[in-house]
Amino acid sequence: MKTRTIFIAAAAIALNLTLGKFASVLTLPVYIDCIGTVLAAALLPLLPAVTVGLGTSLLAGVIVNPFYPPYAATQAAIAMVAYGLSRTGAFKRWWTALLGGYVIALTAVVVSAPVTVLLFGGVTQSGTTAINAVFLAAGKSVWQSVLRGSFIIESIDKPTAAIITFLVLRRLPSYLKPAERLTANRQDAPTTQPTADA
Amino acid sequence: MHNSDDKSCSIPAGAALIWTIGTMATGAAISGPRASAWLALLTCAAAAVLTNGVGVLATICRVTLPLAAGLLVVHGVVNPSFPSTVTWFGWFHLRESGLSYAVTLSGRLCIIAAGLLLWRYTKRTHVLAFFQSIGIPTRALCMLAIAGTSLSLFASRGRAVQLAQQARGLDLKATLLARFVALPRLVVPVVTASLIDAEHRGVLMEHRGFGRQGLVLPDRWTATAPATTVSKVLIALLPPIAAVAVRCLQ
Repeated sequence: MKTRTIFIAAAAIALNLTLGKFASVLTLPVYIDCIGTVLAAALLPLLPAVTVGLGTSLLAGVIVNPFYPPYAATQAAIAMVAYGLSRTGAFKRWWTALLGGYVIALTAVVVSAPVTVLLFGGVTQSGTTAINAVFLAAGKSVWQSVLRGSFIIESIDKPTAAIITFLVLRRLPSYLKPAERLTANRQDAPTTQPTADA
Repeated sequence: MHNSDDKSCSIPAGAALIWTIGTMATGAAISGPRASAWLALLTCAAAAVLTNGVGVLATICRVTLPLAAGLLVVHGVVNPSFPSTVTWFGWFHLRESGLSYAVTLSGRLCIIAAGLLLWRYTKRTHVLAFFQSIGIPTRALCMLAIAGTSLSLFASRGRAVQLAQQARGLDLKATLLARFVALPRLVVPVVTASLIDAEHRGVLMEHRGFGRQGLVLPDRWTATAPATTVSKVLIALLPPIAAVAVRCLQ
């Protein structure tokens, strides 16, 4: 793993853990805790991208909430799917990014459902729990309720993350984008721009 | 995972890992509300003793009680797959088996929370040194360490962007659709600036020789003794031992 990859991956982990505050500031029904993972998948090789997902869950488990680590597999799956999507050009147009967001949402629902049902009994975030309870009261099983309730929330959250990834990738300088990163000699890359804390 | 020099609440990383694995195995093996409640109480008490204080108990309650309340309502009242034992007003059902299930799960969550919260009482440098000694790649550890130290920087950058956008007319109490549209105005500048900054730092560190001959942790990171073979074997054997012990006790 190159030094620059380590720093970008670390930034992606930190973004995963800090961007959620914007959703709470705007009181939106999303978590946006996977933008860093999706971006890492778009900018870095597969292994660092998966490490970003796993690292986010572990670090969040220590810093934010101890119930994050059980969902580490979800973050890893998101990284793998987003990596595949980015290599097929899904984040080059807004509508393919939106469709890709739904694919990521479906993956996240399927991978996280066993953890939500078996470990948490179908109860996690307050909003999702309320939707799950409605489905349960309507006579659905716990599995059906969790799958449906999670998909409702994830179908808002993950496409939002994918659209933001598309917007960020459009605004990033060319030397940070995957195609340019693969070339060995970068012409426009910064050489030394010392920051105050570097 | 804190970085202070306060020795009073510093737990060795190896002990924290053994504790976490043991509690996870206990949580996985547990069944029945009575055993779950007792083991949760014992685990919380042990966590309080290990951390030399009751602060950990407050944190366990803060993260577990909302989930426990949700479980009690969802399975003890709402979930029709559990038979109703008491009915009030013709519509309010109390489900005894659902309540038992909720108590079992709540106890398990309490044990898991106690298992993971102990890491907040370890020293960051010792944790990194310990994980390096048991074979975790140094680059992955560096990634986590850099991410952990970047959090406050990113949070302050996010706050600055939020204030700037509010000064430009961003309304935090607009309609739901308007707030959704406003989200990229807050997130995109923070993400873009953070990634460019990370790239610059990476280039800078690369030019300084970081990682050229393999990553070597500074001396202050390797202050603790590396994991011994005995502790590695103990870590590996702990899950089945704890699981069998819990099953035998129930």
